[in-house]
This record gives sequence, C-alpha cells and structure tokens, in this order.
Amino acid sequence: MPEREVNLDVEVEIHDADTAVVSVGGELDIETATMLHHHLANQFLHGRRHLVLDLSALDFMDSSGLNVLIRAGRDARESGGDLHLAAPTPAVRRILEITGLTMTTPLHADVADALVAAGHEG
Amino acid sequence: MSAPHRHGGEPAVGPPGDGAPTPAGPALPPGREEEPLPDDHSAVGRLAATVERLREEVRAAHAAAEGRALIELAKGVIVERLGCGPAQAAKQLAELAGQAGLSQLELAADIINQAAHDRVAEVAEGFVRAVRQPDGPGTAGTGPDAGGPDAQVNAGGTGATGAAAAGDSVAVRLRTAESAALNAGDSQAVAESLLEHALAPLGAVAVAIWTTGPDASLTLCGHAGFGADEPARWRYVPPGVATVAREALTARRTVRFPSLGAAGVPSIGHTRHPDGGRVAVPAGTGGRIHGVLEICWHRPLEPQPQAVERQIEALAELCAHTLETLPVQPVPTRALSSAAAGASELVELADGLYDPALVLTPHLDGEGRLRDFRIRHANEHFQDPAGRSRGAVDGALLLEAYPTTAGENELFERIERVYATGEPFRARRTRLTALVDQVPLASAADLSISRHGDSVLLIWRIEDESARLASLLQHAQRLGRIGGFEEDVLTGEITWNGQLFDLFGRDLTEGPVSLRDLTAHAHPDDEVAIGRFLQAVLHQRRASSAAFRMLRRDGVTRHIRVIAEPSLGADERLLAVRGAYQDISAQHWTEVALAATRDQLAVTEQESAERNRLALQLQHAIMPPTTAPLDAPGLDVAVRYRPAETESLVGGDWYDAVVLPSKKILLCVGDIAGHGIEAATGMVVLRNALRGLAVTGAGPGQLLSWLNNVAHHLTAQVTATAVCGVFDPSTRTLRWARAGHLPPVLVRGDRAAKLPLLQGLLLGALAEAEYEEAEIQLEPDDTVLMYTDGLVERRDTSVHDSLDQLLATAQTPADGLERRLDLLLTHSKSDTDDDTCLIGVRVT
Repeated sequence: MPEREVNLDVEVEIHDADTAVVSVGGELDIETATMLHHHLANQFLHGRRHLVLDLSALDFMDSSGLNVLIRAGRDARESGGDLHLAAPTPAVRRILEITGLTMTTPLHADVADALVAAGHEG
Repeated sequence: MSAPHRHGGEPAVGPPGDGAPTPAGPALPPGREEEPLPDDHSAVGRLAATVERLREEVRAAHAAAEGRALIELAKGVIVERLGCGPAQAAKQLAELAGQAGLSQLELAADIINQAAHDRVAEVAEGFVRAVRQPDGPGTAGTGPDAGGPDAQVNAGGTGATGAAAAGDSVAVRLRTAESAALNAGDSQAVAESLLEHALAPLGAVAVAIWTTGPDASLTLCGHAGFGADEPARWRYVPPGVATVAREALTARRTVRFPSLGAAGVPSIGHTRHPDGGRVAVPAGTGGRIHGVLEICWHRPLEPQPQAVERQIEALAELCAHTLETLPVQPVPTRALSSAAAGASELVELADGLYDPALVLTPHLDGEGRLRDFRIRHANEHFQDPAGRSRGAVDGALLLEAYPTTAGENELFERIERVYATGEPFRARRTRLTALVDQVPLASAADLSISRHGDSVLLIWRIEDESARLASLLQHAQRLGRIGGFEEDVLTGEITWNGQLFDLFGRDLTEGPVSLRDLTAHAHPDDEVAIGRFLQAVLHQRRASSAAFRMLRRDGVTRHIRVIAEPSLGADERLLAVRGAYQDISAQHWTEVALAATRDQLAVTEQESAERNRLALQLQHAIMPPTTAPLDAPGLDVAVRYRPAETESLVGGDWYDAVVLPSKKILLCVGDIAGHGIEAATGMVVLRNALRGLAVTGAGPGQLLSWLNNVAHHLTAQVTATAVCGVFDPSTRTLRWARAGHLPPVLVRGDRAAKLPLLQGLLLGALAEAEYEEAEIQLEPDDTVLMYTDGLVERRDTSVHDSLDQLLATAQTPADGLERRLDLLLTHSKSDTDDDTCLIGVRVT
C-alpha cells in the first residue's frame, strides 16, 4: 500500500474557558481523521464545549473526515455547546453542502464571525 | 585428630596416662623411655621436658574434652527440661552432683541416659542391675580395674565403691566412648576409643572395625591392640574368604567363637591370640550393614552375661553410625573409591543405560530403620508404567510411587536384600505390577538390582510390548493433556477416560458430559462455534473440531479444542461419536505471547487481510461486479462495481435495483464512511433495510428518512451517503432524493447534466432528518447515472471540477449502456483508490 505522508496540521488556540479555535490544515482523510478526532475530544474533555474549526487551510476532506465533524457536532451538543465551521475552501465547502452537513453545523465566513456566533449561542 | 590414649599390644588395663600418643604405639613398649630426663642443664633435656609437658596438656585436654562433651550435653538437657539458662544449668548440675555424691561426669551420664532412653542407657541400666546382684556372673575381665580409666577421666572420682560404682562407671564409660566416637575424626580413632573406654573394661585386648565393600569384600578401617604389622596384613579381605567378620556379615547377626583356634577360622591377630575368644557383630543402620565390629580376647571366652552382649551390640551400633557418617579411610594407603562411589556417579551411569533405570537411596524412619527407598534419579529411558512424568517420580519414595512393589517376593524386598548385603540380584522375566489408572497391570521384566556405595541401581526391561505401548499412550495423553471420549448415539452411553474428568474438573461420580450439553460448560461467546461443530458431527456426519473456552465449576477457564468424528453403521446410520478434548491453554497462551512479542505485526496484517478479503467477498456476494441485477420492463439496468485496488480500502459502497411489488423499480447507490469489514456489514444492513422499507410503497424521501434512523441506531456510529430513486415505468417518472450523496446525472441526447442538489443530510448524523424529494419526467433513451464518489473524488480537484469531467465523459456517444459505464470507469480521474459503484438505467 502506498503510504501517504500524514498531511494534517492541527493547531489549538484557547479563546476562553469554554471556547477553543482549532485550525485544521492539509488533508482530512482516513489516515488523519482519528488524529483530529483526538484533538477535538481532548478539547471537550477540558470543558471547551464551544469549538470553532478554522478550515481555511484544509484542502481535502473525505467521508472519514466528515464523520469526525459529525461526531464533534454531536459531542458539542451533548455537552451543551456547539460546533462552528469557519472559512472552508470551495472544495470542502462543496463536500459540506453535498453531504448536507451545512444543515446541522453552522458555516461562517471567518473565525471572527464564528466566535461571535459561538459566544452568542453559548 | 587421634585418640588421647593408645595402648600397646598388652592387655589394655594398664595404668592410664602411660603411652605417648605416638602412632607406632606397639613399637615402643609402654615404658618410660620418653619420660623427661630432668637434665636442666642440657638444651635437649629442656626441650624434651617441654615436649612432654605439652603432650601432657594435650592428653589432659582430650580427656577433659570427652568428659566436657558429656557435661555440656547434660547441661543442654537441663536447660531444656527446666527452661533455665546454661549458667544456671551448670550450677544445678554441680549442686545435684554434690547432693548425690557423684562426680559431675557421672551425673551427666545419668541425666543423658534418662533423657535419651536409647540403647546405651538400656545397656547401662541392665549392667547396673546385673552387677548389683551379688552372685552375678563374673563379667569377664570387668574387674575393679574397670573404674580406673573413668576415675582418671573423672579427675575426681567418687567415694562410691563396689557394684554400684562399677555399674555407674559403665554408664559413664559407654557415654564417654560414644562421645569420643562421635567426636573422633576417623574410624581408627573410633577403634582406639572403643577399646580404651568400653572394651578393655570387658577384658578385650584388641578390636577391629571392618567396612564392607560393594562387592562384599571387607576392608579394615580401624583397629586397636593388634600391633603394627598385623593390620597391614589384614587390611583387605576379598569376597568369599571366610573370616570371623565375614561370618557375621553373611549371617547378618552376631557370631561368637569361644576359641578362635578351636573354630579354625582365620582372622586378624590369630597368631598372637590363637586361643583367644572372638565376637563379631554386624554394624548396620537402617537395614544396611556398613561393616563389622570384631572384638578379640586373649583368653578363651566364656559365655557372657546378656548385659555384656547388649553392651557390645550397642557399641556395634555406635560403630555403624560412625562408619556411615565418617569418610572411609582404610588403614593401608590403598584407595577404596568404589565404596565411596557417590550417587552422582551412579546417576551418570544410569543415564548412560538404554534401559529404564532408577537410582535409589535408603530412606530411614525416625528410629533409623530402613522404611523405604527414595527415588534419587529416574534416567532418560525411564517410562512410568502409570504414565506419569519423570519429574513426578523423581524424588518420590519408592513405596509411595509404586505401592505394589511391596508385595510378597516383590521388587521392594529384593531391593532391600541387595541393599543389606551388597549381593546383586539379576533375573529374567520377573513379574512387575504397576497401577495404571488404578488398574493393576502386571508385566514381565528383566531385572537387575545392584548396590553401589550407598545407592541401589535398579534396571529393568519390560518385555510385554503391548503393555509398553499402552503406557506410552497413557503417557502421551497425559503429556498432551488429551481426554478421550466415545458417545453411543443409540443408547446414549458415554465413556470418558480419567484424564477427561480432570480436564472438565469433574468428579468421577458425577459422570461425563454429553456433547449436546457442551455449551452449558462453555463461554457464551463460544456457543456459535460449538453449535457449528455439533452440526457438522451429528447432522452432516463429518469429522470436525472446535476451540472453545471451558468454564469449569472451580472457576478455572481452560482453552479446549474438541475433535470428534462420527462412526457410521453399514446403513449409514450414525452409531457413535468418538473424539478427544485437548487442553490447549498452555498452547494458547504461548501463541498469545508469541503474537505479542514476535508475530504481532504479521498476525495483525494477516487478520486484517482476512477481514478485507471477507469484506470483498461480501461485496461480491451481494453485488456481482457486472451482472445486471434485474430485467425490468421499460428500463435497461447496468451496474459496475470496482473495489478499491488496495484490499484494506474495500469499503461500503453499494448499489441496488429491484422491482417492487408495485412494479415500480427501486434504484439506489450508497456509500458507507470507512472501509473494511465494518463498512461492508453496515452496507449490508442499510441495503437490506432499504429494500424492506421500499416494499411499503413510500417515496424516496421518506425511505431515506427511515434509513437515516436505521443508520443512526447502528451500534458502530455509521454515517453513509445514498441516493435513492423510484422509477415508475408506467409514467416514465423518476422520483428521487439524496442523503449527502452526489446527485444523479441525466444523459439526454448528447448532453449530460447533474440533477439538482436536493436538501438531504447524510445518513446517521442526526437521529431525525428530512429529505427533499424531486421528480423528473424521463424520455425514451434517457440515461440516468448514479455513482459513488470513487468515480469522481480527487485530492487536487474540487468535486465541482471532477463532476464537470464526469459530465464530459458521460455525454460522449457510447454504443449502448454497458459500453457507457465502461467508458465512465475507464476515464474516471479519481485518485483516491476508493471503491466505485456505478449504476446506469436507460429508458426503453
């Protein structure tokens, strides 16, 4: 099997006690989805129930990646928080639209908008 | 260390303190040649005086040491009895002696006698009683002198006189001899001590201690009173030469010759004391004769009182203990290695034999009697008739391991005899009985028993080959932890061997467990495996096996493999089932350990490869890659399924096309997120669920809503995308909806266009979801394509661009539907190596 290099960058910025901004860059696929899931689960574990995912540097996402977003959204709702997606690239945005994820998870033009929405909703 | 006193060839009752402790005692008359000549003016004279003084000190120290040993022992008894400290015990001893008018030494001997209640005490008491009788027999040679040495040792003596004093002195004497013998460094010292302390008072003039060799030869290992040359001449008596000592050995009892010359039996010192009496006593412990104590009198021997005889026997026993514990040091320089042959040499010898052999050493009870033999070593070729491992027999007691050897004329008695006499035993076709699973099994064997040093070597060869094979089988079953069984299907009778009861942890009285009840003894998770196994054996009538976890009542879980084969009658009827259970626990854990350490990667890879193959087989079984699933009126249907090139990526793509009861046609393409067996099983669930739901006649939007619910409640959090259409041939309308899936493509004439992106969340993300539904009116020759993203997905291109490419390929003219699908697959620009599912319908 041709091993692809793991190509996903995840950076976490703590915005406040219960809000974190997670920047996701590279390719979110079957190889990297678990890694992102661990990052997000870790945030929930620390009480950050409002998560903003900055997708501006995410070039590719497949169904495994989608599943991570779906689970994150579910986890956030269960802990009384929410998940916001910010600034997806056209390719990723298209996937989100096709799969209908835009119906369950709010999409924002940028992180600032997302944070406002997160604070407002939180 | 040598004895303190050494008497010359003369009767030994001479005044104490005479002979200097020179080894060549007899060469020097016990005179005063070495008495210091008090010539103070000569350096030689001073030196001689110093040497004599030192000798005197040594002698006194030895004498005191022997006495002190007794006193210390008595103090120990007092400490133990009165629970006081040693100092108090010493004080107590002194006070008691004073009160009783005895020397401390005499009192010590009394105390020890009382505490020990052993043979020496018995003899001493008997002696006291005998000599107190006024007309008691003259106790040959035991004159008033007898007190002499004791008094000397005593360094104080007592005022007691007469018979009582003589009796008391016997106790002291014997204890002193015992103490000296136990402290003596070799049997030569023992002989000297015996003569001085115990035998000279009985009138004896010389003593010889013989040790018996493995070949029943006799070697002189200690002597006193025979002079210098005679012991050298008699240092070794070959087997078969009848001497006084030999007679005692052969008879295994005390022999007495009132006059040696009259009996005509040769022995050591017979020239010097030709008419003197002789007594020879076998010196043995625990059934083994270690040697012979021979006592020599100068004059013919009159019948001795019983007390004296018993005293002599006690001395022989004392001798035996020293012979047993002391290294054998024969008087002459000639080596006697064979007598000291260690058990270790015998073990090596046994291992070199091609027949089964045991090395046995005597096992004595608390009183020093031979009770049993310990199996010191079982050699490599040893096979336990009862099938036990060598380790189970090694180190056990012979009678415990083989109780049946104790019978009349049986093995144990033979071994006992060989051990006592040293005479080897060899016989062909001897009956051996062994218990095999509580059943006595007699077999004929060639036997060889021989004594080597302190050990016995037992070699046998079992003649009965079938018995040997039976034992081998038992052995193998035990080793392999296999338990055999047979179930008569007609009568229901079940036969188990003993090992199987052990495996199940069941008592024999509880009876066996039928195969049909096996699941009651197994882990619930293994019920399926056992069920399959039973079906194979009982219904399909073929040999089968299964591995399961046996849950024993004692809480032990065992990994068991059961193997069984049916036994069929002439009419092909099932008569019986035969088989075996094997405990594979050890094997199992070994495998686990191996997997964890060495093969983990390989095992994991193999497992996942198997799982992936299974996933692919599942896909193929449900969706043949090319075969049209149905022949529907008004509609051509063609499908393509292309699994991912990498087996591990084979996933959950599916298609379906089925004519519903309403004559409408259900068309569907779906894609479960993820890969492998989980995705494939999820696919099966959703595909079948959709088929079932579609029978209700509901529209595609409703169907997807239900299907979302199914996906959401699958145990593994499954998400899937799907597009679902219901084609009505009567109106040529297609109603469709989508759940997160790419929209279908419509090819009409030379134009291809994707249908609109209806609202529809992918399946399983939310518990409840609604799906927008649309209807399209198709025309003849219209082609609708449904596909999974394997057809379009590219990492470097947005789905939008990929779809445009798909549309371009779709509108190139094609010779028929099948050809069009091939074209689409061929020109797919996908680079993600995903599954690809493609379904095309053409309105006719």
